[in-house]
Amino acid sequence: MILLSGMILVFGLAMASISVYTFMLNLFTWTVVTYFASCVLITFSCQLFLTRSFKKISWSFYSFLGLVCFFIPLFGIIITLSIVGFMSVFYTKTHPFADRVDETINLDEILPFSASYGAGGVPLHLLRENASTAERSKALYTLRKTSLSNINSLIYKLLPDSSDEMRLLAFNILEGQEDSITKRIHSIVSMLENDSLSNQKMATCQKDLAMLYWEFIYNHLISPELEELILDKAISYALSALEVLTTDATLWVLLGKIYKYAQQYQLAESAFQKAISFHISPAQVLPYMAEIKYKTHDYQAIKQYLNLSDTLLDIPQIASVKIFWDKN
Amino acid sequence: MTIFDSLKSQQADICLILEGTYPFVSGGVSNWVSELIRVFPQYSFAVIFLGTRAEDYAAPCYPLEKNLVHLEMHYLFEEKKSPKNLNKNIDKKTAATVEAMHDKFVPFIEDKSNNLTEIAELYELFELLDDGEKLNECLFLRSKAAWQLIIKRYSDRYPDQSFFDYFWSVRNLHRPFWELKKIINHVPKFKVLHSASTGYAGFLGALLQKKYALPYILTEHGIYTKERWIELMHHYFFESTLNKLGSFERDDVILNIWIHFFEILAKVGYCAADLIISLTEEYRNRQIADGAIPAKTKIISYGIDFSRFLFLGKKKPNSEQAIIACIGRVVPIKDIKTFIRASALIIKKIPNAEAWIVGAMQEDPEYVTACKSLIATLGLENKIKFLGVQKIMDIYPKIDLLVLTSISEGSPFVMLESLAVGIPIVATNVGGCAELIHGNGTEDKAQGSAGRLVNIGDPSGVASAAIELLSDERAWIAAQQIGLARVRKYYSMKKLIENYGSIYEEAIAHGRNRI
Repeated sequence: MILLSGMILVFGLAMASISVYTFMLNLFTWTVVTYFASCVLITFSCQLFLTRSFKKISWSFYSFLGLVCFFIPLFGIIITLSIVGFMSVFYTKTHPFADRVDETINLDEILPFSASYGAGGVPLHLLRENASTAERSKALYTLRKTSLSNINSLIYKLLPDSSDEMRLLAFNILEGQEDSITKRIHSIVSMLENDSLSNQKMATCQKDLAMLYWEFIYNHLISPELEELILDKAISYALSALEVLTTDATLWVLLGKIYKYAQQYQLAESAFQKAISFHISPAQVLPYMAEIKYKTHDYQAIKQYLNLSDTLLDIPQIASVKIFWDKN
Repeated sequence: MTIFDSLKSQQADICLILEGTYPFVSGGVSNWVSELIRVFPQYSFAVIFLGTRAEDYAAPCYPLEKNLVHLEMHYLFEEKKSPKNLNKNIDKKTAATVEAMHDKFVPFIEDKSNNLTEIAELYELFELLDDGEKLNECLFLRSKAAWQLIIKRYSDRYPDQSFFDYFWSVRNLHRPFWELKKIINHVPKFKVLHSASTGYAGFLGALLQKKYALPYILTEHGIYTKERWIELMHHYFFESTLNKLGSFERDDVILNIWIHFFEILAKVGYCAADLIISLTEEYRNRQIADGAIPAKTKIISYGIDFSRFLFLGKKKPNSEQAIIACIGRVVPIKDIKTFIRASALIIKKIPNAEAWIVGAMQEDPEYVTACKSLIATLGLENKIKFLGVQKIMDIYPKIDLLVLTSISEGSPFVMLESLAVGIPIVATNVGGCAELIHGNGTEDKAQGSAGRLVNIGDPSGVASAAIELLSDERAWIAAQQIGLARVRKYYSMKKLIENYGSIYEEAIAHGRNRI
């Protein structure tokens, strides 16, 4: 291809020389004809040369090169060849593999999973038993990347699936998460058994344990028969940690969330109040406090809490709730 | 002198090719192999054991029968010391052979065609590997020329991928082939080849069949490619998506190379085998979908020796002080945690009930610890007990229900035992469990259920099914009788001996064409 391109370029340049010669002989018609032909040949050689590196250059670009050649006599040819040379060097230095990837990898297989209008969302693809395993596993990975807290609820729905692969993959994913948290708990518990720990360090370990036990519940990784037990452990570790880390706002928020989940709403509310008093952003806890008021049917208090901070309007999930309660 | 010194006979009737099972790892396939050798005393057996690394295996878990005359172990992923002078240049001819060999590997990792005739060309690779004088594993995988070739191929084909992943994938995909090459050149004389899975064992069977033109039988208890798929997907889910938060699309390419590799190994095995046996209809269909020719496939169920597992004649369950048992290795695939959680719910309802976990605990000590910690968390140390390995016929008379919470099974032998002695079962709906509980085929299904089937990872489902059977005497007795009838009619050892006996007889007498 390069050889052909080079040959055509030589012809084009020879034709341009002929046009200069005919111009000197005052044969203007022949000059225009031969110069036009030389521009066409040079543009064509450029097209052949660039096709080697760039697959998708539109015809309008080559038309532009042709026009530059033709309407800027002689210098147009130099400009055109410079542009092509620059593009070639630029390609070699910056995109050496760009097009080779197209050739070696089946893009249909690795294109990101996407759903079009009417096709349903990723969860639908995941739970559709007649879809291929490849499609469903890709849906699962896509879903994982969204970091939704309740993704595990969806994964649980795969446990009775008719496909062995999906069923076992779902089980392994849940088991893997549980194992990872359990291992972290064990390592912290073994640290706690060390008597030489300072009070501060011990409280930090207890805080971590409270968070890990809460993670079991938050990520829906615990079976119902163990939930009460795990909640008790999370509360007990959080309270122990707070005896030392009394001003730790994050820990107060955690305690508030755990109490809220355990439906101990008064304790939850006072934990959130404590968190605010230790300078946590109100926007972080007000939605929870408003939710507690909703659960206890105190609708006036919902409005009051949601009006305490304008920044709630900046949180997409909360903004519409705030607008609703502002109107009602 | 070790127990293996006497197992060096250079001649055997049947060569069993086993990957990670008998005699060093206990489990369903190993039990089956052990029984197979025991019930065919008229044949001499050789075992080629393929493992990962020698340190992963201890002493044999099974008594070695007298007719096991040859045992050889090969480890496909043994760590090897890096030799010196790897940077020196090799001559052009050897470098060309290295490149030709890498080319022959391409179909294993890239070729998407389903054309089985092309797979025959893969054997040419082993002819190149055979040229041991000029070329060795070290030159092929670790020489300067090989390094440059890997870099070139990476740049040409996978520039978008992690080089680290690509490099180790290439190395680990290629390494076992050198060990397989050593095996095929130094095997004793056999009359029949029989592998118990696809994968490396199936592939080795195909190579031996090709080289020595022997009849080759392939029995699959599970589906090897499916198990590898799940392991790979699980690994990538955590490693790529969770830990690195990388793009799945990017990692997908290396993942697909691995998946494709195991699919090709299975296809080669299916293509070479003269007879492809599965335990259930579901797995037979899966084999066909994966490339097995339907005419070569056959279903042969497990068989049980009723003289060893006598009906206990238990009249009813002990509903007040019931004992439920999970019999199997304490490993994640058995999902003992779900059994423990279900037991907690059962004990809540039947306070005097007890749950026993009977089976080997040395395989995954970390998992055993996690299970014990779960029991401690539930405060049920006195109610849920680990009994370790026991004489199984000492256990059955004491229990009222067998509970199997596995997430993957072939056709569990323990279920056959339990049905034979008259203990109903609650089992997860995996592998061949449904066929054993509800029956296979219209006539068998019409008999009824020998227990209850539940979903995997569903403690409350397991608990309700168990409580229902334990508290409803009539349902328990019905399940017992149906199970007994089913196992006696369809799963006798006599039947298994007849089936395999005729296959071995034909193969030994007439070679490949008569199986």
